[in-house]
Amino acid sequence: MRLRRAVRGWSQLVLEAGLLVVGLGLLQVVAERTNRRYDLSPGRSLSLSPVTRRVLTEVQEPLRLTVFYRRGQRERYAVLLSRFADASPYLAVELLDFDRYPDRARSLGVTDYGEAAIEYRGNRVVAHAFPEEELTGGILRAVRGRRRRLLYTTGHGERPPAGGPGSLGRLTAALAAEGYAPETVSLLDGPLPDDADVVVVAGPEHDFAPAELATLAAFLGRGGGVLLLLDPAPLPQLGAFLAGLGLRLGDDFLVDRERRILGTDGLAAVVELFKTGNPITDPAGHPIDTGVVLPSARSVDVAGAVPGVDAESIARTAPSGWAMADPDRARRGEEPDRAHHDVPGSASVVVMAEVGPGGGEPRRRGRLVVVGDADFASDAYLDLLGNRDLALNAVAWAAGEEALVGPHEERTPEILRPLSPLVLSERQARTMLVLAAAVEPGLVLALGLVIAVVRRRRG
Amino acid sequence: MIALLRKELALYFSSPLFYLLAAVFFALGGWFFYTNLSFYVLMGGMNLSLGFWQYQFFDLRQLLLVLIPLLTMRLFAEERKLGTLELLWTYPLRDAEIVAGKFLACLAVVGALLLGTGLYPLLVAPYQTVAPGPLVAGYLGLGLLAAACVACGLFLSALTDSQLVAGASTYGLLLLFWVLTWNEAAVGAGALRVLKPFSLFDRFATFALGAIDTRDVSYLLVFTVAFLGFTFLALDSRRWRGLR
Amino acid sequence: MIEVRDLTKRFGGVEALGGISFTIRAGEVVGFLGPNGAGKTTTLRILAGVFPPSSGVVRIAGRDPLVEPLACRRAVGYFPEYAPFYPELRVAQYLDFVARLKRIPRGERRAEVARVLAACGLEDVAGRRVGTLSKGYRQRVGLAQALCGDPPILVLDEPTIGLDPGQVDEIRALIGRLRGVRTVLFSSHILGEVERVCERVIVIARGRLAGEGTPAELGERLAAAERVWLRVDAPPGAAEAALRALAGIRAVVPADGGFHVEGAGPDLARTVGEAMRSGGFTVLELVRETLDLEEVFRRLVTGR
Repeated sequence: MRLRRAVRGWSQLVLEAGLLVVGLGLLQVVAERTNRRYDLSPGRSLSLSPVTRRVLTEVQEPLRLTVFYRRGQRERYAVLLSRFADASPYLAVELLDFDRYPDRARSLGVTDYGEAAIEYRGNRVVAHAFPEEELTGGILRAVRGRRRRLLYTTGHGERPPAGGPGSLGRLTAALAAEGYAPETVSLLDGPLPDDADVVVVAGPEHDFAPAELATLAAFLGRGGGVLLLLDPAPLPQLGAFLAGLGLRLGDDFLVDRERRILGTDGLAAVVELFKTGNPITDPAGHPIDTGVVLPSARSVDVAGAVPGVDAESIARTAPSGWAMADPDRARRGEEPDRAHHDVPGSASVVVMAEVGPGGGEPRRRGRLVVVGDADFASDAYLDLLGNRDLALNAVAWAAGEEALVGPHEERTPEILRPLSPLVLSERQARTMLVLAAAVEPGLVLALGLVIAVVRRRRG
Repeated sequence: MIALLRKELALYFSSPLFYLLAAVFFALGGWFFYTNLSFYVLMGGMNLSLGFWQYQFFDLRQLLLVLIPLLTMRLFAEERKLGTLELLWTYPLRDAEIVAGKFLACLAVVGALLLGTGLYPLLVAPYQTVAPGPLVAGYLGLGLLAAACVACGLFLSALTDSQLVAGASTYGLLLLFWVLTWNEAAVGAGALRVLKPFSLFDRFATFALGAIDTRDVSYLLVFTVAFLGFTFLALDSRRWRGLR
Repeated sequence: MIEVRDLTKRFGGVEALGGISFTIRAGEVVGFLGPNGAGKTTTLRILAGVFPPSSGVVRIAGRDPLVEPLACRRAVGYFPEYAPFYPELRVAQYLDFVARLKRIPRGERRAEVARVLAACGLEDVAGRRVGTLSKGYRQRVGLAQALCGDPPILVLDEPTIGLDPGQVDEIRALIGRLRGVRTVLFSSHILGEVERVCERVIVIARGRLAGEGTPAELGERLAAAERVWLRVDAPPGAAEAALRALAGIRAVVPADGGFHVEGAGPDLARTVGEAMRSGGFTVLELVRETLDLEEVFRRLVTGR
């Protein structure tokens, strides 16, 4: 039983309305400070990737991000930057129109639209502000303050780090954005440097000499990281080396006639099955869910257990694929069949292994990733599906980049990820149009008509 | 309050104008659905959420903006003109109940229309897997936005006895909140940062993309509560302003 | 049943009621008279619970509407001027809606609606939309709405306005049936019918009480300013001068060869008669005139 308020006037009304607004406003301010975000999009494409979030946890001092945009494109940067700003209390973010503040841009070293100046602890780094990976890479560089060394091997017909569709130009550029300074190295020149973070063998066409393999093995033994991208080519010595680690390098050629991806010929193998819970294909619950396409692939699998080596297969091709025993037959475009010893079914194509004595040793273990294809990382194919993710994650893990290491989860069963674009025939599209734009409203109108008539009748 | 809610629903659903509005709403929604889907298929048809739902939700938002003032304008203005509002005030019915009843009734009607748009995911589902996540986010956003617009329209309807004035002013006010940050060239960076949080336009964006940010939920709720509160104050002002 | 003391109401700078007091006992049927703008509707609205007074005391069935607003509203059935209605609802549907709003329990609702339909003669049109009914029927629907829930008090603002005599009779009969059973306060312009239906009349003008009592009482009280009709045989002007010279004479209005003389009573006739005789005039006609309610009303309202 409330005592009703006395009769009041305008001033009291304004006061009450004002109190209401102020009270609600305070609530909103609190909400702004303590917001939570629930990303319901499949693949969590709207939140910052776990990689970015990991990198941001390394930011422990004020970091200043100044992005210069071209007029009219503010929105895309604003959205991304607001996510960054939300994720770390140390981030100060500013968005400026490049044309309005040219002097400011120049003083920060920014020379083009869409670049960001990142200032941290006295370091200044300029990076692309979009997409997210570039910006994260820039922040990582600013935070680390040093570059990482990435060594490409030469001498076996490997793909060059730059120049042309068959090269690894785009990959190298992406890695450079993440702070990897690329170099080339020959395994015959003596032991690999200790401070090299990762050695990449990119699609050799000729085999390795035993001395080279020994250098590689030593590097692994010292805790180094190695990424092997191997196209279907005869590499017996390398194969033997891998066998010594309990890995089997198949001499086959994997094809998939059913799954055709735009931009590849019918020879490509499509990887659909990924092991969950590993940091390369499923880092911290951010899986590569769009698949990977390997234009010319060979199988790589774990053959047996070898002491000191913990290896597991982490990616397999789709069950509709075939492993053709004779690569030449495959290249000629012949159909696979059992008569030629071709094996149907899913085949393992990516293996990751930790090499060295384990069990809490102070020195870290060597890391080896073997992928049964090199094309996927080349410029022509890097941007298809999840190829880029696979390549970058593999390098990152091999290099021991902590930011990318996910928690070691139990081995969970493989899960299938279907991918199929939406295709509609003329008739199907027209049916949809009719149903949505004519039938539904028509039904509503009919209902209204019925009601109007009934009411008229009843009076 | 339930009785009032029922009466409002009865009045809505027995009016032929409503069915006309609903039919137009669905016709346009269906047309947008078709064009957005065509665009999506043309662009590769891989990411349903970013390539299709986003645009569909933005279009539905526009439709709601056009539709809601037409639904809210009669809520109080008509009663005032008929003289029945005075009568309501002689029943054992609290002002808050009156506001709540009318608000919920209109919201329910909008909800029914949004339910009708559920046809679109159903049409797509046989051809491509429809993830529920982005739909949940999008419809939540539309629901909250609808509540905000209805509350605004309800308030303006309570200020006048002319449905025309109520409807027109609702359009005006909603548009104001809409276009607050549209013209980035005209509005300076500082002003933009201050105005942005108030813009209904921007607050809905995240929902359409498939994420739920509690800040946006909170703002839309605050907006709704504020206008419901103003409506209550407007009704209450009869104590010292009289009935006109 | 209804108690009002020093009731005032201001809207902005305008004073609508400047201090009214009256009491209505249970079972009374009271008429509420006053010219337009006198504050009738405002008073009725305050009693019905539409808005509170600016100051003053109101008690509805012993309760204070400022403290127990809902209980007070439940005790009053209100019929606003011009009988507002929802055109699109059907009569029975509308009354059911009202019954729900008045918090009549579900089990009793249908019976109550039926009762009210019968009481107001609306059974035949129960299924028709209110907007399609004639004014007379619409008025009855308004009355039915007020009666719904059987409230102890009925407050009716111009319940017979715009009706033809037959319909007015019906309404009057309905109100008459409530005498002693329910408390009724209704306002009207039609003095004749107020006289016939009401036991008591409250007159209000310019926001204040102008008079109160049974029609007879009022007439008598005012007839304490009596009026007589006088015809004398006297030189022109002489009689008038003599009359005006009398103490307590309020007005001398020549008409039809004679004078209407108003003055303070009691027994103005004797005073005037003696005055004429002592003046040496022969009294040809001396008639006491009673004031009817119309006169009462006019005088009360235009102010003494």
